[in-house]
Amino acid sequence: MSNQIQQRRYWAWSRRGSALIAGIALLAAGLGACSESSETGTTGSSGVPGGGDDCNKGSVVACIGDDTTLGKIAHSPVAAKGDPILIGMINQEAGAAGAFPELSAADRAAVAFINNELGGVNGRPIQLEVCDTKFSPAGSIACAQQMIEKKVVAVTGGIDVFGDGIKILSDNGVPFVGGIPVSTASASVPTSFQFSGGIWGALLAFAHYATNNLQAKSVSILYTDFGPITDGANTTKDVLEKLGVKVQMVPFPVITTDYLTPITQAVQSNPDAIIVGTADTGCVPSFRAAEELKTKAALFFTGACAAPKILESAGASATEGAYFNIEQILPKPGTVDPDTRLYNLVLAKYAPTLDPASAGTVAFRSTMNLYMQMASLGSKATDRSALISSFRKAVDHPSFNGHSYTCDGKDFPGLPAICTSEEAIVQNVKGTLVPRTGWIDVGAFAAR
Amino acid sequence: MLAALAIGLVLTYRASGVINFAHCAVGAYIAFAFFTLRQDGDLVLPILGLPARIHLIGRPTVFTALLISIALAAVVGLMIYTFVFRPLRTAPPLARIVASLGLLLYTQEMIRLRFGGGGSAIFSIGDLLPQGAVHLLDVAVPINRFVLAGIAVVASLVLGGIYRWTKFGLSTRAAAENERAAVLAGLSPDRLAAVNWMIATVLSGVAVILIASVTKQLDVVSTSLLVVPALAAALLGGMASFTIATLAGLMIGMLQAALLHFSTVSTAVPNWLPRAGIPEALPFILILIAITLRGRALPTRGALEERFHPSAPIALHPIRWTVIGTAVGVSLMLTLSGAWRLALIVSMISAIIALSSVVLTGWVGQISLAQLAIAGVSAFMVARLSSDAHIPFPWSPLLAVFAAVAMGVLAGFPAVRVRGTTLAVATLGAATAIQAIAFNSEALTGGIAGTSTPQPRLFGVNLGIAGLGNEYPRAGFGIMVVIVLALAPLAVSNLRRSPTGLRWLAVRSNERAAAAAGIDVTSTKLLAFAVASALAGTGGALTAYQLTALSPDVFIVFLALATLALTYLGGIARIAGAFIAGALASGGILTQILGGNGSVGSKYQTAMSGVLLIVVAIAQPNGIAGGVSALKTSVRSRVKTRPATRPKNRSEVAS
Repeated sequence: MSNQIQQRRYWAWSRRGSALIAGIALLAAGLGACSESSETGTTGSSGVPGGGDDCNKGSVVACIGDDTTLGKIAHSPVAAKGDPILIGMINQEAGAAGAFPELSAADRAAVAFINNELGGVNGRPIQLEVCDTKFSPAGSIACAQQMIEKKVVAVTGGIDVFGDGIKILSDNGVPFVGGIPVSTASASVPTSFQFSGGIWGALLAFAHYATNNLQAKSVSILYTDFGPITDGANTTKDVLEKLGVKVQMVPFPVITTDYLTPITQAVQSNPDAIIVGTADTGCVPSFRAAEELKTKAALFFTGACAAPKILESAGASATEGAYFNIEQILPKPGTVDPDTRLYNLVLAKYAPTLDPASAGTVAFRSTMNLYMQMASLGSKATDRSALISSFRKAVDHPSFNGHSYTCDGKDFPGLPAICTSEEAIVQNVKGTLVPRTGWIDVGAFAAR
Repeated sequence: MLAALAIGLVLTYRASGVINFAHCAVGAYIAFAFFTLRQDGDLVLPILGLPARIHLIGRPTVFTALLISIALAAVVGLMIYTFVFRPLRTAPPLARIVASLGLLLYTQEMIRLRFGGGGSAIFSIGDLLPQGAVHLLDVAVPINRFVLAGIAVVASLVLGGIYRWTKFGLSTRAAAENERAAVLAGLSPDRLAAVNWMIATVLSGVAVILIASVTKQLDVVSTSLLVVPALAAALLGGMASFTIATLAGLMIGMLQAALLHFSTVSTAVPNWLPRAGIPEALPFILILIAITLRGRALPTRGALEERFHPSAPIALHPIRWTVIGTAVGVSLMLTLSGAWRLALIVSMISAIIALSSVVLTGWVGQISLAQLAIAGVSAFMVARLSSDAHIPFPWSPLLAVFAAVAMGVLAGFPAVRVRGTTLAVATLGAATAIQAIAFNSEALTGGIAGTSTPQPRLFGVNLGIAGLGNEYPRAGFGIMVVIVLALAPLAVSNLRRSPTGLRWLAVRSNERAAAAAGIDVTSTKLLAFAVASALAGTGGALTAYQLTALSPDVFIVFLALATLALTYLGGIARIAGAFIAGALASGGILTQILGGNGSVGSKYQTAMSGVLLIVVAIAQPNGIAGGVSALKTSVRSRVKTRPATRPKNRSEVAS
């Protein structure tokens, strides 16, 4: 098992400079963190469940076995024809504050796979319209208006930290499906359906592990002081305090390069656990600061900080023993998850330059889940109301390469749009990420 | 490393009298190229039309990559001088400033286009300097900071020595003192300037590479903005002294770090003040101090400068054009589809803001880079007055415009004392300070999450932009913008025809002569600032209603620079120039023609605007509107030679 995990290439967000992006990545913590490396995806079919004789990179559709999520729905292995069905995607494609083109790249790969090998939706191809928010509320609104003008059937999520446009989509009855829920709107508006716990899920998973497994009595939470991140940190604080845990809150500015000061502040109270709400370029200085301060507290970092480049850059001694969260299917030891394998094959064929371990995993999952819902609606596939209704009725519905989802608005207390509230914890042991838990239902944990 | 950047600015100013606003952006390009070279072995070329990358070498060592990057920087510096600033060596300050703004826009956009990631580094930035920390007064200070400061000091000393004791240095100083005498002495100011530009660009590139290797961060916006503190340091050194510029650079860096620490830990700092904004506002204060202490403009070079001012013709038949324009605008609002309607609205609002630059810079000669910041003040005022104080339309925008006027007059006070390039630097500092302190304040503007603007209503009529489905953007809002845009040029064209307009032009031509003729130069300038700020404020208020959600990024400093730049491109002294600037604005009509936001065509819009700006600064100082007007005049004069087709009306229609 440990070898399997070791092979995993975690988030490859080795870029972007601000703490804000650290915050954004935190929101996305662990969402795509646990994909198999691409080499496992090209191992062919023999002996692997779901792989038929024709299963290879040239014909990915032949790899859809009954053990995959897609295998549970009917599909025709032909290319789609006819008028395209417009699906939107709102994402932060570019901008000085961070860019996440891997999400749209994964979406495009999913759409190409659906169109070329799954017969599209009712034989019609999907046309993906990607809009860049340029990291601004106004950009988010502009994207939503663009989607409405183009009369898209639904919009899939990328990253939109502001979510102003998501509210407008909701006002216009447009379903907003998946992506990385990094705004309060994406986690709460009635037409949004999310397959990740976002920031709330990540922090609560840490709190759960710290209290249940490590019996922590005092916890410091470091977090970017920004809207939903602050909200997630406060939610976690409330839950911990109800459990009798002493909590120290250490907010730090959205734009900062100084991670030493907040970590020093967190260490000073000598807590049993420190939850570090940073990622990306914030990871390395945080790891190093924590090492320099020689804290004995258990350190929790987001899955984003488990990227091999980050671990390598921070150094083995600084990262040893650190915990991370993930939201991916955890395969049994010695096996490869069928969905993960299929995902890798699709990427190898349709987006060969995209790192399968990137955050694109989440976008891919979202598009496949949307496709499966549309496919199940038959002639009503392009009816927005029918689609919304179908998602709302979903109970323990299979999710591509993720935990099943239930969109009755009750899965995650206070965040009705979050349909999946399961997280898992892994630990870095001598350079290997070792699973420490199965699925943790953080929604139920928050409700306690 | 601010010190090294400041030295580069001093060098280029000494060499060619140019304050290069693109100095740090070019340094950022070199740094991006260096780290890409280290990672992939690819040399990334910064010229549109040429291949983006050339694979040079496997994975070069730090030393090899640094050598190649230094060579690249030298070539880039040489090209910048040869193709941009050499043709402008005798041009008026405005043309040179605009060319450097064009270079800035182009460089920033090329970084985004060539390196991806939206202008942020998507490669790993390795350590180049020694790691580890030393403890000073119980505070751990990384060693690399000391090494960095040491490198800057050594660079300053070496350069100081070169310019004091070598023939090259003495020649450069001689050419800076008196270009004509230098030529007579057998020196080649051109060659000297070219070498200095190469040195400055190399310095800038190496400085940004080292900064990035320490901070592990590299993005085009924040790196380009380093030009503001670097300018403050260079100004404190009078744009002449390497030593003072270096010391000032070191001092500013240390003061900023100390201020950041103080503002983070101190309880004395009011909550509404953004902690990170306090250090960013410091350079503006230092710029003001430098201006006050010096009491005069920057030392000018002993080169002949053209005293050219773009022509500022009186608009003929303003009422007729207003009526026609309004009718056309309203018709378009009622007939265009959503995307085009929105593009037209964006263009019209941009035109109103550009009009403020026409008045202030085109007619009065005051180079202000703070107009968009003033628009931003008005926009956030509208948002907060409407949503928090519940002050209804039209009172909230009116109050906001008054606030903008007050802010504009305040920003205009440095203009009483300085002009030209110095004023441009001072207003850039002011714009940066407004952004750092006011716009980034969560209490004042909502911070990066922004603030929403309620929809305007008048006597029960919805004048807002928001609408469901195809209704967006609502025509009612568009018509309101059409009416405002129709009235604004009418008002300013009347001012232009009035004695006030004549006083403005007199001040633009020669302040001393104007004062001798009995014109109160101070009040004339301040009135111009007030009028321009009213226009910018009106545009800002409309922006608040158009966007419905405002955040500081809408008014970032670089967009402010682009506003002046596009107005120059359109025609800085003509009302028609503002209309053209509006059409060229991002998200406006040109963007829509190019296929809309996010299209392949619009990707290159900004980079092409930068190139066009440089071309216009060199070849057509009257802008596109001036070019069109000249073309019309030329055609008419040809037609005039044919008696049968003699035109009845030979007057120029400016708008």
